[in-house]
Amino acid sequence: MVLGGLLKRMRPRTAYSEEQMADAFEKRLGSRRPLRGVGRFSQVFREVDCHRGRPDFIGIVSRMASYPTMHGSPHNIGTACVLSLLKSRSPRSLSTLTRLSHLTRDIVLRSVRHLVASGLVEELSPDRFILSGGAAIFDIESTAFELKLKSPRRATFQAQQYTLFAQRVWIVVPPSLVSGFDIYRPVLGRWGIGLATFNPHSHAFRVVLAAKRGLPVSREHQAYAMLRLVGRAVA
Amino acid sequence: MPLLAQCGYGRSDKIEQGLAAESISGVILSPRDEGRARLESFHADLRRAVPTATVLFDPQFYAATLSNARDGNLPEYPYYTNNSGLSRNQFRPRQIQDYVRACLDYQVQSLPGLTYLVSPSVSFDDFRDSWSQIALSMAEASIDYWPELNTETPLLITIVLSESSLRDPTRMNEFLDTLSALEVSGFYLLIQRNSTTLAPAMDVGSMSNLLYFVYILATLNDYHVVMGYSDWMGFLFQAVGAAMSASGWHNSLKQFTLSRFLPQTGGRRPRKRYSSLRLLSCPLVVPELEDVYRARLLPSVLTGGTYDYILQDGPGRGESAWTDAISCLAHWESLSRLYAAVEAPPTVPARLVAATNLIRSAEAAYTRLNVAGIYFEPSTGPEQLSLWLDSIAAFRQEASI
Repeated sequence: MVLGGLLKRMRPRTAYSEEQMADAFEKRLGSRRPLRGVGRFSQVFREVDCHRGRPDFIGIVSRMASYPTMHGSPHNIGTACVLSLLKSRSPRSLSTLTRLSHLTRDIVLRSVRHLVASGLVEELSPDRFILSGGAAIFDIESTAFELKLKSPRRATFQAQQYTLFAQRVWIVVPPSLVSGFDIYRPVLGRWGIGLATFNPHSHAFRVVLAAKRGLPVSREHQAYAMLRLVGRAVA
Repeated sequence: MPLLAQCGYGRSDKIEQGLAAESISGVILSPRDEGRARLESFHADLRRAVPTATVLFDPQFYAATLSNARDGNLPEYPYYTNNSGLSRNQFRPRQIQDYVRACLDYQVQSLPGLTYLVSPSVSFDDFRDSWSQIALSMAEASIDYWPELNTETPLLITIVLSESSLRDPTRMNEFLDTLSALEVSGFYLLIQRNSTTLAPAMDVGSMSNLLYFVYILATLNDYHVVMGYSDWMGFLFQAVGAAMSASGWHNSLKQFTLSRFLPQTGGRRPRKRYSSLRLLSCPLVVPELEDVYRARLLPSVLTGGTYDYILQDGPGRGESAWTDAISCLAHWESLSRLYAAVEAPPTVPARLVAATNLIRSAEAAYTRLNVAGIYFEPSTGPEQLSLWLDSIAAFRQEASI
């Protein structure tokens, strides 16, 4: 019992919670000083549900408010799926969208109507739809950040999922946790996931492994995440 | 093909497609998940379209003992209508006879052409508790009533036992002695799992005892044993003599728990998985299978199935097209191949060797992936492999084979 208590006291612990670290990191992201090796963002969102996880932060490089706005709650996976299947130049019909999406015709119709009403999609002629304002959604450059005080394996797993929709993904940890990622370096390398340390007290940020820019793995998840950001930006 | 589709909510055309692809040989119908008219019409259509398909109807009478059960469409069925929320004192001999008659009459009259009649039963947690005695009484009442039905359709006795009950081999053997004296074609066996989340393996003691249970009934006593909700574990049941094993599309159709019949608060949509015969598990399409792809090791994980082309050029990119229906059909294809591989040798010892070899090669595949820095969630594996190997070893010792 005594030994257990002693070991507990000897175990290295961070003097702050994940919440406090996130608060400090948010301030750092919002400051004028850019994060070296990461760059500056025009807008930062905290804890956005992206269908496959909830990154602590997503930074983007252009103003979301300048993009078409969405009203109601269009950011469901059905709407995102339909949006991801549309193109800027070659129109698609409802039956094609139904076939490709594996959704029911009712859901596809409802989604298309909503997207048309929001200005993201245009009906060129009856039953011929193209991306209009929605095309800009796929041009947004986004960077996802996952902050962790422990569990490198969990952090790696979450970061892998964020590559579905973000161009760059970073894991940010306290300096003391970096060695825990040694065995995950091959995985981070394969996925182009960056690793950085951040000290919430000094706000010092240091890149350990640079993130590589990649195309989002899933256009559907990208559409979902960006629709969420559009909704948050408008709100 | 010893694989049956375990039916549930959202059947769509999966059964027809599975039968056409010859990955399943039949279906276990679920009255909870389909209205009476729809189920009867599906059964009639299936009988016409695929007369050789094995069709069973699970009466799901075990749900009648739950209070406030989430029993879906079950109240539409005449044998269940007035029998929900039954307590122990509502199983007197006369009442048991009534339940059994109503249930078997329904199957004979409304579902002509079933491959087997399935008796109603209740679940129990201990081989000596009062519910196990009620289950035996229901089994005997079903056997007694069957000749009065004037049907040639053979009868299967339903046994619904809990995973924890299998920890006591003495009581299990006593129960087995009673079962093996019954004059019936076979058994429809459901194991109520301890965990509500999908767990492809049990603890070694329970699993080896279960293998012994199936072996005694199927191989030594020549009963026809159908294992419901078996999924990956089905290949071990097939190895020790089970006639057929079943699996469905949702996680709740891959392992049996009564929580399926209890009120729930809902949950998130499950993440997409790929059924890998080489790993004997279902890795997540993203990130697990995608990571394997990025490490250029995808061919060592793919099953070589009909739908692999969707994920071959990058699981992440193919994920959108990997629909729930395709995932289910691909899973059945993997299971069907696995069961067939294990059943190829004629004797139980040879089948166990085949099963052991498959598990060992899956272990080797995981080791190769691990060396390449690829890691899996605990729910994917490979912990289940060593549990299966230990269970086989313990069973062989117990059965002296």
